[in-house]
Amino acid sequence: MNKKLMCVLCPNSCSLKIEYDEKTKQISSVSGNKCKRGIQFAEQEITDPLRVLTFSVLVEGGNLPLVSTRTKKPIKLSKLIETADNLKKVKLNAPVKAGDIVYKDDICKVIATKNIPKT
Amino acid sequence: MNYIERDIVIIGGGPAGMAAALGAKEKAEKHKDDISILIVERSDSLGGILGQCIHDGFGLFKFNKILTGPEYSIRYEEQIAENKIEVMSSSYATKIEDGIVHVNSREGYIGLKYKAIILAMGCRERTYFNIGVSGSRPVGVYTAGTVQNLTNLANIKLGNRVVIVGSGDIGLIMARRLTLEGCKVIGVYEILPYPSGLERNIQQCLTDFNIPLHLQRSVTQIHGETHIEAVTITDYDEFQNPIKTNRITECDTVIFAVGLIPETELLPEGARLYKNTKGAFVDENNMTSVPGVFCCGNVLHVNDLVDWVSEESEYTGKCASNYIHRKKHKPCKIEVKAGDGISYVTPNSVSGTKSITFAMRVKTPHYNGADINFYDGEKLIFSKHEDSLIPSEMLHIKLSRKVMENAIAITVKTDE
Repeated sequence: MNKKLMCVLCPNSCSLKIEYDEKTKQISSVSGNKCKRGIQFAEQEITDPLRVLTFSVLVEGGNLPLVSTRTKKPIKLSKLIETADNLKKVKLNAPVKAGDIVYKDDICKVIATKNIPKT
Repeated sequence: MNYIERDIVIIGGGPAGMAAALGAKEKAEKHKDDISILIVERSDSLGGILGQCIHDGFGLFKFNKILTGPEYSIRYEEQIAENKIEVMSSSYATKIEDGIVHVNSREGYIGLKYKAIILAMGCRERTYFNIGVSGSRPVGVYTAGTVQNLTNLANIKLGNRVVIVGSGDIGLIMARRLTLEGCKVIGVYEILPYPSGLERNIQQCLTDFNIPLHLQRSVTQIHGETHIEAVTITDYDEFQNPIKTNRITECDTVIFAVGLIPETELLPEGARLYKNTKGAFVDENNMTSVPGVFCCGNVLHVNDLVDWVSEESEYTGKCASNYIHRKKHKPCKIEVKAGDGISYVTPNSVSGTKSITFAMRVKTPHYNGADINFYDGEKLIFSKHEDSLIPSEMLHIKLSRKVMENAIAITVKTDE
């Protein structure tokens, strides 16, 4: 099985060509990478893709009704929707500062990415 | 009308305006000039479009990090505060005339006199009217940027079954965003044989969520009197000629992500336009044909990465400071044109007295790479090979002073 991917680890943005077994997910070759990290990235993408979730969370009493957030680290692609659903239930109170941890569970830590002052 | 004066006025407090202000200040300090810089911003805070771009992918080149839009903006907002750069917020510039920009400010209508003005107002979205979609204008039709604003800043949900027209980055980003919010995104329909957005976004916004990308298809009619009920999808050939029109897809929301246009309303009368970008024609200092009027960021040409906007705008700010310091620029008599295979190149004229980094885009994808050739008339003066070129990824090529100093007119072409 062939897959074409863009590595996002650094500005080189190498176009990777990956050959792997569809059933076992065993990679037989990676080409197009300018460094070793590209190979690790390819392996991760094939076996267990990780993504940063960015989402908005409700805030009361702030200058905006929502604060933008992100998972501090990339989480499993398969857990994105579940985490989004959990974040929908969170209600914060202003003020919120960028960097504040707004949610935490076994899967991830979620931080605010902007400042929401009180109105 | 009240009149006030500032040396450098910057219209727009988004990423372009903020970087321009910092570049201008840095250069003025080098010249030991004590100049006043003012950012005029229409909303109540800095950041521009970045405030609604809650997704990540910003800053990879500028900061070697993958940041979200708001995080990228905060880095600049903090620098603006540290450098004590004056900001006039909730103020809307209405026109530029005779060296004065008219501003509707919180304190009333004012005339702001400048020595140099930098336009950094960004761009607007192309609408369904621009592409000739017919229908009775029911509720449920939006442009992608509007949906992003309403979803991320106003907490408004627009619909449940969504059709997205155009595979531009904003459309792709919203496909993912709405899916995460619980909407069903039926598909993304792109009229061209290839997607317009970045590869990374196709993967992370569509493939990851099994949202189909339909190439050579678009929405041509919207059905429903007061609210959308369905759309007609038309199939096209590779030259955008319609070939089949009989699909009807039920939906309640249609989002158009069909391109961005530089916001050029403020350009003073007489400013030459560059039709390839629909932005201003600028010289190597990003100065328009009107002396003292500069442009940078999306108002000049639509960028795909904010990192490039920051670089270009910081450079433009420095040029504006230079202009005030020396009171003129070297004449830019060498015109630079986009030839075969190149959809546009900027800047549009150079002096041949300094090295210049040109920004450009190819017209069609060259997946196996191509040579980008610079000609002075018939003579080849510079050539660079690039692996894998696509229209959605801007290309930057630097030419040295030596290469350009004797040129008369430069044309940039691709040769595969």
